[in-house]
Amino acid sequence: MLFNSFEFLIFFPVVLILYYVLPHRSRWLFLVLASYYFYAVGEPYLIGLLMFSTLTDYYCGLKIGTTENQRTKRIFLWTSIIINIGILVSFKYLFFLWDSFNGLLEQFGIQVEAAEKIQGYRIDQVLLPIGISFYTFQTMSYTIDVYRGNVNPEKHFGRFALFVAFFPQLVAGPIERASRMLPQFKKIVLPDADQIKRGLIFMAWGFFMKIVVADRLGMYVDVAYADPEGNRGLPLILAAFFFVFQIYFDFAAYTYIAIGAAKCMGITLINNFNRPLFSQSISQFWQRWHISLTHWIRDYLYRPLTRNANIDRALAVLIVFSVMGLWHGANWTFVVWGILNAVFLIVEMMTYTLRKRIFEFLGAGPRIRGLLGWGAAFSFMLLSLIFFRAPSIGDAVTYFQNLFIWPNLHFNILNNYFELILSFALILGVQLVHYYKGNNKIYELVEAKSVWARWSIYFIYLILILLFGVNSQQSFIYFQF
Amino acid sequence: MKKLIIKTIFFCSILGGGYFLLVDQLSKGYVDMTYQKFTQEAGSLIIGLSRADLGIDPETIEDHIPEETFNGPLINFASNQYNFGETYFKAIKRKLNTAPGKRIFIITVSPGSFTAPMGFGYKGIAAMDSKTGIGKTKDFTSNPNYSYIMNCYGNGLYTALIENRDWDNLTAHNNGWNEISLESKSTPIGKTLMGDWKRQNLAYYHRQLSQLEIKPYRKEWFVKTIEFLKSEGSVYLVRMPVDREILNFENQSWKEFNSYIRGVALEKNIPYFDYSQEGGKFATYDGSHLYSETAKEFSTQLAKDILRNGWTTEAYEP
Repeated sequence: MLFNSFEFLIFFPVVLILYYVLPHRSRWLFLVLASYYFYAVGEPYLIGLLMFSTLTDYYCGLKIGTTENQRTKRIFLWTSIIINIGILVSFKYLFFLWDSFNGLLEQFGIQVEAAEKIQGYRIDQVLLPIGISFYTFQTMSYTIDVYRGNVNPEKHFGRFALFVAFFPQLVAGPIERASRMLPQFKKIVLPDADQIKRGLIFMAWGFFMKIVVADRLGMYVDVAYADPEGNRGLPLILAAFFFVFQIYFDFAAYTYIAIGAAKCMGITLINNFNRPLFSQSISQFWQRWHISLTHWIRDYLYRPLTRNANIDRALAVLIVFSVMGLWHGANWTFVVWGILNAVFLIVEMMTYTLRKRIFEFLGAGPRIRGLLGWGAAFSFMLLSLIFFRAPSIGDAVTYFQNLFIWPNLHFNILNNYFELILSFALILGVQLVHYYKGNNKIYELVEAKSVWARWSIYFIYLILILLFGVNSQQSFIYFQF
Repeated sequence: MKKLIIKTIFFCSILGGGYFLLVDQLSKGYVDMTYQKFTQEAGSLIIGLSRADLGIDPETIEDHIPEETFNGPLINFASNQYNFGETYFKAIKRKLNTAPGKRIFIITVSPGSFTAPMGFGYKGIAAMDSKTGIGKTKDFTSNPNYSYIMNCYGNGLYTALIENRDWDNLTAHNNGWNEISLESKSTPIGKTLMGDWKRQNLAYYHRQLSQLEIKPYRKEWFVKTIEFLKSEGSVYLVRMPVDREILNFENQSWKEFNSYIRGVALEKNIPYFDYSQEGGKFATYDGSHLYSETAKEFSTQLAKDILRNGWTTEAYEP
C-alpha cells in the first residue's frame, strides 16, 4: 500500500483508532495483522517471504540466546545470515549476477546455452518483493546483536513479528534495531494528544514533500532521462539538479510519514536525515543521509572489516560503498555510484591536511571553506546521481556525453514555464524550512504559535496541497530497493 | 484529545471537500488528451498507438458507415502508451457496452505496438503496462470520470481554475479522436517545422532501437485481443500511412513485420489493410502522424475499404 494513496487515508485512521481502543495485551496482534495487510495489498503472495524471514530469525535468535556453546551460536548466526542473504540474492541479485557472469564469458567468446533457456525465468518474472532490502537488513541486525550480546533474544513471537513487519517502516525504513523497537512495543502507550499532533504534523509535511515537490520534480526528470540525446545540454543539467532534490524529498517524505505514523502510536523511529544537502563534504553527507543504513553498514560491515579483518581503511571504504551501491539495486549503475562515492571519500580523507594548509595559506575563513566544500559536495552528488538514476551504464554515459553540449538552451521541455518556476520556488521553500528547523523539528512550524498564525499555516498548507499536489499517486523511489 | 479529533476531522473535511470540488471543476473542462477516451461506453473501437489516436476520426467513419448498421458509438481508444498486452486487453473489455454483437474493431498495427524495453520478461512488461493510464483506472465509461482524474491525471489541480490546454493545435473530441490542426496561435506548423519534427522523430526511433525489442508477450496478447474482439464483431487490421523515411526505418528494424501481420490475418480470417506505402497520399505533420485534414481523408478511405470488404449495411438490431 502506498502512503500517498486513498487506501492509506482510510487505513491509517482506522488502525490508529483501533490501536488505542484495544487493550495493550492484544495490540501486538492487531498491529501485526494490520502490517501484513498493508504489505499484502500490492502482492499478497510475497507475504510468505516476509513470514519466512521472520520465522528464521526468531528461531535463530532464540537458539543463539539460549545456548552457551559458542560453536552453536556461530552456526545459528551464520544460518540466519546465509538465509537472509540467500533471500536477497534469490529475489534481487540472482539474474543480475547471472547476466554479469554471462557477459564476462561472452567477452572471451564463450556462449552459454542456458542463457536462452533461463530467459523465460528472468528476475522480472518474479516481481521484486517490496522492501526486501530493508527488512532483511533489519532482521539480520537482530541476530547479529543477539550473538554479540547487545540485545536479549525476543521470546514473544508476535512482538518479534511486529519488529520485522511494523507497517510504517516496513517497506522503506528507517532500518531499526531490536534494542530500540522491542522495548517500545512492550511499553503501555496511552493516547497523548501532543504526541499524536506531532505525528500528524510529520505526516502532513511528508505528504507535502512527496505530492507537491518530489513528484513535480519527477515530471521534469522523467522526460529528460527518457531521451538524453534529444534533450541535450541545459535540460540535462537541470534534470540532474532536480533529481538531487527529487530523491532526497521523495525518500525524506517517506521517512517523515513513517516517523509521524509511528509517533501517533507512541513509537519513536530513528531520524533518517539531518539536512544532508547542506553538507560541506561527502563524508558529512554520509553522516546525514539515510542514517539508519549508514549506521547499519558501519556497525555490521565497516567495523568488522577494519577491526576484526584488519583491512586498510581506504579499502574498507571501497568495499562498504560497493555493497551500499549494490544494496540499492541489482544494476552496475548502483555499483558505479557507490564506488564513485568511495573514491571521493578516500580523496577527501587523503587530502584533508593538504586542503587545510592551502586554506590557511590563502587565509580562507570557515565560511569560505564551508561554501567551497558545499559546492564541491553538491556538484559531486549531482553528477554521481546520474548513475543512480540512469537505467544502465550505457545510458549514464550517453547522459554525460550530452550533458555539456551547447548551445541547447531550450530547458522548458515540459512546455510549461509556470511549473518550472514553481519547482524552483518549492525547492527553495522546503530547503529554507529544513535549514531553520532541521529534519526532526518540523512541528515547530506550527507549535507555540498563536491560533491565527497556526490556522494561517494550515490554510496555506491546504491551498498548496490541493492546488499544486501532483495527482497521480506516484510510487516512492526507495520502494524498489 | 477531543479537541484534536474535532480539529483533525474539520481539517480533513476541508481537504477532502476541496479536493472533490477541484476534481469536479476540472472534469467540466479540458482535462488532458486521453480523458475523453474514458467517458463513455463504446459499441465499437479504434485500437492502437498514437498514429491511430491522431489519424482515425470515428465521426468520419460513421458518416460513411451508417451508425444504425453497427453497435455504436465508435470510440477512438488508441493512445501512445497502449501497446498490446493484458492491461490493454482488460481495458478494451471494460470499455465495451453490454449490447450484443455486430461491432466494428479497427486494430492499427506498427512495429512499435509489439515492443517493450530490453530485458523485460512477461511480469516486467505487465507491471510496466499497469502503470499507464489504462492500468491505473478501473473506470473507462463514467462521465464525469473522477476515477480517471484521481488516478491518472498527472498534474496539479490548479489547472481546474485556469484555462487548461496542452497545446492549442490539439482538439480532443468527445469520441476520443485527437485532432491536430496545422493552424494555431502558438505553433503554426509549416514545412520547416514539419521537416524538423520528422528528423527528430526519426532520430528518436533510431535511439529507441537500442532500448526496445519485439516481445513475444506483445504478440501473444495481440492474438488474444483479436480472438476476443472477433467473438464480439468484425475485426480489421490496419497499418497506417507514414512518410517514406519512417517506413524504411520500420521495415529495416522488423523486416518480416508485414508477413507476420498477414499471417495472423490469414489465420484468424480477418482483413488486413496496409496503407503504409500511401504516405504520399495522406501527409503527416511529423513523419508519423496524420493531421486534421489528412486524418479525415484517411478515415474516409478506411471506411470505404471496410464497406468494400463486405460490410453489410443492414440496420443493426441489438
